[in-house]
Amino acid sequence: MREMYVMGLGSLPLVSVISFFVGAVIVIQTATNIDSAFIPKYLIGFTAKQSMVLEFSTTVIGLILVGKVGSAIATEIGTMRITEQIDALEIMGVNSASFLILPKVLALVIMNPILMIYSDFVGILSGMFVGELTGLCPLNDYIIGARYYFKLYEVLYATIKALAFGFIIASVPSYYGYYVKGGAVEVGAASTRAVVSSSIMLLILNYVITQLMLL
Amino acid sequence: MITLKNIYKSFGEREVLKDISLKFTPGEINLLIGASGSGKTTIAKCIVGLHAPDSGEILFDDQNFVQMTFDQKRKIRQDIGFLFQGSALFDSMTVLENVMFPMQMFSDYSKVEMKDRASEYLEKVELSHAHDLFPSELSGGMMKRVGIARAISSEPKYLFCDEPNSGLDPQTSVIIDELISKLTSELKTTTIIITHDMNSVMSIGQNVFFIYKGELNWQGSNKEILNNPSNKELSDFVYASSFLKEVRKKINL
Ligand SMILES: Nc1ncnc2c1ncn2[C@@H]1O[C@H](COP(=O)(O)OP(=O)(O)OP(=O)(O)O)[C@@H](O)[C@H]1O
Ligand SMILES: [Mg+2]
Repeated sequence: MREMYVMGLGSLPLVSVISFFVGAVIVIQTATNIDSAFIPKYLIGFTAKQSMVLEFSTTVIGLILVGKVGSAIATEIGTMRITEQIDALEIMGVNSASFLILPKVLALVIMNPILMIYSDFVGILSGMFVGELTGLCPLNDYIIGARYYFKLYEVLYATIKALAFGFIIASVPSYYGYYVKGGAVEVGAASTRAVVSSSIMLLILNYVITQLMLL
Repeated sequence: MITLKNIYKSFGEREVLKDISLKFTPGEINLLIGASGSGKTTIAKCIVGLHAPDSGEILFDDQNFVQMTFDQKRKIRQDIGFLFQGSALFDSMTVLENVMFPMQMFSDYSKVEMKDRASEYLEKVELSHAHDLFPSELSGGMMKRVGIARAISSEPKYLFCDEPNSGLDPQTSVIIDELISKLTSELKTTTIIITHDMNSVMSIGQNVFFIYKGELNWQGSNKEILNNPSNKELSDFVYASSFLKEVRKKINL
């Protein structure tokens, strides 16, 4: 519970800010690029929704959470290792690996899809505001676009990505932290390696899931 | 009773423990002394199963600990309290929660009973005022005392203290030594203290084991150390401080 709170709510401000600006930028870019009378304005809303749901709120938010939450997990567990806190758990008859890692994996697998949905909403809404505010896309068109061609399958695809990414963001850095040897320098190095490996694994998995589900 | 038989341990190429055989005196304080890096912590961690020795036997009352399963080890570990060299308090928990933790693992006391008992142990180490502080808010000496309270809160038969008074001023060191020796006689624990503090050796060193480069070089009582200057490694270690060297020269030992 504490983990869910820290990792979920703790990431809300960051996710809000990023989703807000990206939603806005997508709308401006799309609008300025399709400056033609033949292309209906509602496509702007449609594009914003598709980009947010399919890719941005899962993959980009995932990468950002790797940097924020993943490095924190590796550092936390790594510090517990080098300060003998993990040894202390073992002495007290605790299976330290599952005691430390399981709650984090659970927390992120549950919280990541929720963050994803939240990011979708913030991004799509911010696009709507910017479209209306700048006059690039009237409110009505935007709403039609955002609701156009809504496929449940794509939501499923995004949710599966969010679940898988949540698992990676928690488990890979935990592993790196758990097996740290040495001192503070090694903890820092392990945290960096954890971020790099998780990012790469996340991107590869993104490709695999996309090929399996969308092709 | 803890007995070690022919323990060897290497980390990679480096042989850290060589043929260590010893028997700790039950119900008393046992000191493991030796220079930094001589392998004292490694011995303690082998005994409690945090390191696996390469060969040899570790017997708890004639049961070989090395070959036990996790559940059998867990049973033995209920009887072990361990104060780590760096205290190893759980950062995310308050002092009180730290002391309650072993009880949560090993006992079926109610939450209220655990709190009461933890308070009692904190009183024993004179930290009643620090219940709600976090480890980062404590001084080094306070951390050691919380570590001791946590180590004894599961009412262990065996109490390990890895350098309980390193990094503390001489007065606080004496207080900690007295505390451990009081707890040892009150709770009738077999206590194993790792130290290189000669003050501790002189005041609580009934049973001393001197480790030199991974080997058991000498064992005996503190009185025998003074009467036995013929062992070169031991007397080099004991009279390492320049103050003692001068004194020794003066009285022609
Ligand atoms: N986990 C480990 N991996 C590799 N080498 C280790 C490990 N733990 C200890 N060593 C090595 O084993 C040797 C003995 O270490 P140990 O910690 O037992 O010494 P110590 O007697 O407790 O010293 P100190 O008084 O400084 O605490 C050292 O040379 C150390 O470098
Ligand atoms: Mg040591």
